Amino acid sequence: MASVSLKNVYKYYWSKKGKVEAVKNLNLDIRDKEIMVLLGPSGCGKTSTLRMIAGIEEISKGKLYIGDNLSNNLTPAQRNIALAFEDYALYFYLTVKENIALCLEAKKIDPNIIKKRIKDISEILGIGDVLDLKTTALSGGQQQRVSLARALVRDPSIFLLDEPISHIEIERRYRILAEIKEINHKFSSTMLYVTHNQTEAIAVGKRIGVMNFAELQQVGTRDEIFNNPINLFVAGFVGQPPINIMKCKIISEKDEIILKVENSSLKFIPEAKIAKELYKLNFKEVILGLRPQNIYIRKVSDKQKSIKGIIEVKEFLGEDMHLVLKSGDLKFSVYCNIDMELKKDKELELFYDQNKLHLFHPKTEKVISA
Amino acid sequence: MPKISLKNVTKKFEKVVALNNLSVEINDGEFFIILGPSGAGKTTFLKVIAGLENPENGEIYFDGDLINNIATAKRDVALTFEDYSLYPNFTVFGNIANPLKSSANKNKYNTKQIKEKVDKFTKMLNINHLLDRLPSELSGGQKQRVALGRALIKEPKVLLLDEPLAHVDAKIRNQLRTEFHFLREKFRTTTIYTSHDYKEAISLGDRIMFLNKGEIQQIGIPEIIYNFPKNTIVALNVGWPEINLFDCSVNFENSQLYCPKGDFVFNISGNVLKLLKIYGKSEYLVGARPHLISFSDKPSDVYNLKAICSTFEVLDNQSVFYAKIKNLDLTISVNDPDLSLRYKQELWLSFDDQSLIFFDKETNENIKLKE
Repeated sequence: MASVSLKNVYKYYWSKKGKVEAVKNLNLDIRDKEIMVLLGPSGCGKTSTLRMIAGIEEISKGKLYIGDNLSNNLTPAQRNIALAFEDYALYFYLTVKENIALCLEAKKIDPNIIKKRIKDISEILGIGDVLDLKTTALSGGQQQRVSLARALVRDPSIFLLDEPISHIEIERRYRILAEIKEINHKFSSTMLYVTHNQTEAIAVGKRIGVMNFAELQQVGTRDEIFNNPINLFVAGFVGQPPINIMKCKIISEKDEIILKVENSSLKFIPEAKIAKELYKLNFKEVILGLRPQNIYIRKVSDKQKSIKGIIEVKEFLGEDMHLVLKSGDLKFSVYCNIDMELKKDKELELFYDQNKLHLFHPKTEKVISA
Repeated sequence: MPKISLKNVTKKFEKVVALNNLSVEINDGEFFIILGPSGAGKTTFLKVIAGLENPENGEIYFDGDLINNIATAKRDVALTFEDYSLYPNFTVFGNIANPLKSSANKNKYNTKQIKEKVDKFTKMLNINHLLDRLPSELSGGQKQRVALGRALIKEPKVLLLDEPLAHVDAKIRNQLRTEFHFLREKFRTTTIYTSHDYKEAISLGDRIMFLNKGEIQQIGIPEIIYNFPKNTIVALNVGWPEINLFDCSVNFENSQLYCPKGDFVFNISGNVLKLLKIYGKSEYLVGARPHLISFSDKPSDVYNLKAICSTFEVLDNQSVFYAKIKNLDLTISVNDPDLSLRYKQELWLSFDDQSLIFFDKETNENIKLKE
């Protein structure tokens, strides 16, 4: 059993200016055998969290359980954890092979098994041809692969990976992500994967925890985070191209609640139950989020409502297209299939589903739901 | 008259040929992109135009005038470097104003004029509020705009941008790429821009030149580069996930293609058959874009190729999975991140014959583009 559970965990650092809270009241459960991703901008506390689980940083307050055992005071070695860091942390005076073998040798594993494991992992990660080189002779991307190999070659109960592929060539990255998932599956290990890159997070993680300003904002599957963001930060941080954010005035027109976008002629009609909620709360203003993927250039169902915009930028991207449209002073983007008929300066009718409108409180920025 | 033309330009570094007999014309006001993997010769191409490198062979013309022997300072070009190369001890204002104070422009502008010009350009680039900051206090995207401002303020005839978006995060890169569309509208300067990211190239370029190992593979508008890649090198480097390539032989009597690796046949229509007949060979390398292979979970007349699904991933807005037909591995993508498939699930595939790209097996050239 290697679930990990953090209960009301805090991490403080002390600087000249006083106390800095790197992690605030974190409650997180990483299930046995799952790959959990912590996603967030730099400085959000995700690496501090990982280091506390590893035992390299002390937990300032709160409890850490590995399995059912309170583990705050266990040494890193006792926690049986394998780590890979963004900055590689390789032994520069050893060869690649020696670096990878080190942990296994320390555990007195049969040399033949070590040999085989090193062979397998180095093939998977594409470093089979550099095993006898000193690590200083390698490129940054290769060094990172060695660092990852050194972690993955072990058979720990928990893997902690901190931006493990950030310096690896893009073409190779997604193959490696697939392999990480395969290893997780094969060894039934629990993994915590820390990254600022949402593409990686979505590709590798079953569940994703989004962090910002030292606090965990939301935990969920890709679908939950993408389609039901809990606040404006999560909505804006996850999704590519970024979600369209519009400030709206709430007005009544013919007994209907309408969201009129500031500085533009766009009007959106919310779902009836949301409209009721807005009426009840007696809001004058609201922040509207609508994903570029949820605006369509063709009507898909009769229930869809429409808006209009003028094409300002048409980006041909091969498999798909990105449009920037204008209505008054407002610019918004749409992500759609290739359509060569679309031309710059053309006015376009666009369609949206009412249940894809995300509404946020203008002050607290929390989602408003019925 | 083209703005810039290169005739048979060759540049060598000792024994390495960085540019091999390049001839190309770039039009006035054009946004021209050089796309290629690292080591293709992209930066060398810019340096040759800027006059920072002298070619061993060939001629370079600006507006019809031979400029091989004209010094960089007199060529009226501006170059930005991949790593921005800002002066760390100068503020944003100091960096951008610098070219106006250079020896070539000595006494041309007084302090007030310099201030006005910097003001005008920084407003256009949305960095007007950062004038007092040092480069170390800027984000990657902001540094990029400062470097751009420093290049644009000279109002050069030609703007040379070396991988301007290579060092910013993926998320910011996409935003800046869109922003470049607005900037090029505002400035309308003849621009040569290098990139290794095909999305950047096909999104921004009026035309694209694909360079590999110092040789031009193809020059064309984005739609042509994507839909009609000249050879397998261009096809593999433009489009993501990578295009599927597999050997096939034609059976002209049955109007069928046979793929030995996957041991299956599939029908092709009359127009495709005609094309192959005219070309005259019976064996081809066939290219199928991952998003143009369709599939179903039940077999039918259309979906008649049985495949087994292996790894499955969601990458941004698409689902990508690998499917195996006998020994043939295919990559398939769908614009639907909510798709879910099981490991080892059976699927039934169909190729859209109209979107297949045929390459000559020996030369790896697209048979449609044979001169």
